[in-house]
Amino acid sequence: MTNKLHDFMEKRAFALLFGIIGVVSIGGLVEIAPLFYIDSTIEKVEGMRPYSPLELAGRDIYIREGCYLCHSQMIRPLRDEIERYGHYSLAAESMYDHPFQWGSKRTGPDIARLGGKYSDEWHVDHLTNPRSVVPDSVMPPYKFLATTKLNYKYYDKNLIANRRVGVPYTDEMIKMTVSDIQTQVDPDADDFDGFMARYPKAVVRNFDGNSEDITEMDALIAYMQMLGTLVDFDIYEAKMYDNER
Amino acid sequence: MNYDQIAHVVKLGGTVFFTGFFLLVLVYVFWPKNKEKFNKAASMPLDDTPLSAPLATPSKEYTL
Amino acid sequence: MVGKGQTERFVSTQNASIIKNNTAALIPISMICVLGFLWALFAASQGGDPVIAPHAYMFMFAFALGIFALVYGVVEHKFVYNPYEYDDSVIRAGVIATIFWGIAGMLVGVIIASQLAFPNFMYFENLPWTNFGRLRPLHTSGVIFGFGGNALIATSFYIVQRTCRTRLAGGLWPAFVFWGYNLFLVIAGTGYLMGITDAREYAEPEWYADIWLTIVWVAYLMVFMMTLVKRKEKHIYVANWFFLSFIVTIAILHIVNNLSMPVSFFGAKSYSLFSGVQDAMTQWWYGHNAVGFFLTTGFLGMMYYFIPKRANRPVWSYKLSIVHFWTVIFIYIWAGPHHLHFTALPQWTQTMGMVFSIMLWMPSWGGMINGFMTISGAWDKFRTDPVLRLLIISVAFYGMATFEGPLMAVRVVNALSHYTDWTIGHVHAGALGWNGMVTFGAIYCMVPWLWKKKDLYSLRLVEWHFWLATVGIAFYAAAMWVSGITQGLMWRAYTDLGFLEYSFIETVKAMKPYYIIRTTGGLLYLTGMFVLTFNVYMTIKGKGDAVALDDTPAPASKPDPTAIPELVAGE
Repeated sequence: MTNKLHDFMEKRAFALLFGIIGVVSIGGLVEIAPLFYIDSTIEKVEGMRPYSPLELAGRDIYIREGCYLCHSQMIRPLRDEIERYGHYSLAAESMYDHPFQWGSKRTGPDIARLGGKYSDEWHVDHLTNPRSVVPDSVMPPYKFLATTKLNYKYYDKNLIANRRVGVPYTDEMIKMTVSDIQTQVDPDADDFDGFMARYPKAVVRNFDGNSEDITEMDALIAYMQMLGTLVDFDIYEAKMYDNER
Repeated sequence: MNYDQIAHVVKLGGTVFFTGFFLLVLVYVFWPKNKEKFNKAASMPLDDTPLSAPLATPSKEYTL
Repeated sequence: MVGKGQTERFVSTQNASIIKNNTAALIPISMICVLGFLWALFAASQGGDPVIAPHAYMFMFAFALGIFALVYGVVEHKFVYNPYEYDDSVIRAGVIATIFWGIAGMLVGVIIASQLAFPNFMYFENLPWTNFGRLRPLHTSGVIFGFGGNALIATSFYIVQRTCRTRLAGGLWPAFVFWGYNLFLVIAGTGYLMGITDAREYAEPEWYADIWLTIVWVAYLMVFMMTLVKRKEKHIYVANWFFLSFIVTIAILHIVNNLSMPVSFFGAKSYSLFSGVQDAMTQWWYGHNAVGFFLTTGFLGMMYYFIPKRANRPVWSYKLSIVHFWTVIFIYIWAGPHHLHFTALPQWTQTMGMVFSIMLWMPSWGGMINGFMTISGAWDKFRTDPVLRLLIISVAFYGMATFEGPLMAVRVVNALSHYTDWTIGHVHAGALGWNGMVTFGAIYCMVPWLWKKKDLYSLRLVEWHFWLATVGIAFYAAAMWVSGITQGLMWRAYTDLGFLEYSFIETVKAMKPYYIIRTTGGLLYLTGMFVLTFNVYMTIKGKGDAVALDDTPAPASKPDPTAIPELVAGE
């Protein structure tokens, strides 16, 4: 019986093809599919919100420059990592990340909780010439970010694309995209309160110290200054067994 | 479904499927009738005859 | 009059009546070119975003060139073929493309390695495209998909024809696969330099390049399948099983992992369909199985042809090859989560990934044992034939890497090794040792056969290449093991008072000597690649031992290559 079955398969190229497809599908189905419907995969936490448009634009730059190739954003529940970087990362903290940026290599340190650890000025200096502030750094220089104007005139389209894949951007958020980008680099802007209501805990500052233009430096630092700041770990407690690590 | 149920189904199902599948492959491989075929197949790369030469055994179309 | 059997053998390659026209694929291929050209035209003029324009022009140029080539071929009657000859032109092109991408990808590798070793000299603040983050995907894609991919396409087409005793199916489609695949590589590589990436490691090209690759890959699958279907041998040789599993699984992985939402149909940027933990799992299901099915089963297909062929010995155990084929492809696909140990991925998935990774050890070694044992009884050739030695040592590296992999997938080991250079060392032991060396062996085998030469230009140069590559790998892997374990231990080192002993930058500083050794190792390996290039060039030119052979495929009874076709036909 099995003899005939395999004989059948090896004589018929298409049977071999479908045999292979069947065998290789199982592992993926079993491991990936449940992640979409098991409740405990992503913890229920307070404070997570979609990225503000400027933060999202900064994240696009982070991706464009391949930062994820040397910096992870995933703190493991190991003693030294928690002491070095902060509370271990939760699945919920990357629930609006399309794509995820957990990384796979730490040529530089983890930056999942980078937000608020350094001043904007430090970031500008460090990105312009990393070795001016960290002499032994091997990081590339990103001086050009400070002189490249952020291209955000039609950035609402990027929010719409994110909404299509499940990020809960409201119509209002999408309508206010351009204004919100301008507001986030100008604490005196008229719509400050409206912006803060849409994106609680957002940092509003002139990030790159240059008030004439909104640059890619502004966007990238805005993104880095919010990393890991949304969930308040003074009050967070794992509620389900499989979220305790 | 919670973690335990999923883990149970996956572990049990995976083990049963894999063991069964592995046994099927073993039965095929050690089926006495197949021995000659495998011996012949093991030498297939050594066959250097050009495509224009006639086949040693008459060819059939082994299609779908 | 074309007869059967003996007569046909002599007539077939000479007689014009056998020459067939090759036009079935003309219409679909030209339609693909026209549609692609129109999309690129719109993208160039509409400009969904500024960065897409260069790619739009490149696509327009490529598709215009494709249409021109099709018209030219039809007008000049270039698309004729002899069904009694193997289709080797696309394989010759594939060998050359393999070498080209190998040099390009390895050169970029040496550059980025020296950037980490000498950051003050190798970074240029006014040239963003030379930064590590943009060059690194060019390196990985260049060597995996450029060097490895072209080698796989070339060898799979070579092997499937010989073991099925039939010409490649599909007429012009194999050429479409080759040129389309290399167009994808150019789009991908130039995209990284411009900052076009979707940040999925080893799958970085954006959505439009992914769609183009999907079209090319489906064509590849169909060419391979239809060649199997029209074979003249009853049994499908096991190398073809490995190739088929590689082609079809990569298709599945590529499509699922690259699902994304473009910001504009005529723009470059897209956002992944999945987010966070699901996205991570999908990506490493892809990432791990790109190793499993691109760099393992595909190259095992190579091994199962070239080692028996070169050693002139049958496969040691064909039974073993069947058992380890099914177990490798079954188990490999589960092992992806070991890339996500201790992350926010649910624990049950991590455990599963670890268990299957350990199980993977045995079937992987099935391939290694079969490779080694195939030359038992011909071990003298291991000493005398450097090409066979390359092939066998590649299997040794395969065995090493597939032992180290399960080890690193164990959670406690992974806690130390993950995020460090140990992973980089592991990958390169596999990539340089296994994939690189088996490819070199295959190239050295195929070049004289494809260009109809008695032998390679120089076996002594192969000997040099072998040692350059081996010493290069030794430098590379040793440096990365030491640096990886050192850094992992430094990260978790505590003082007597219970404080972390080292700041992060101190651990970076400690890496410097290893990064220099690593660069040296890479440079040696690249030098070996140049030696190969020279040897292949001289072989094609027919210098040294590469004496041109009579190019009629008939047996020795017809040695004169200048014979007039009519005479042969009447023989």
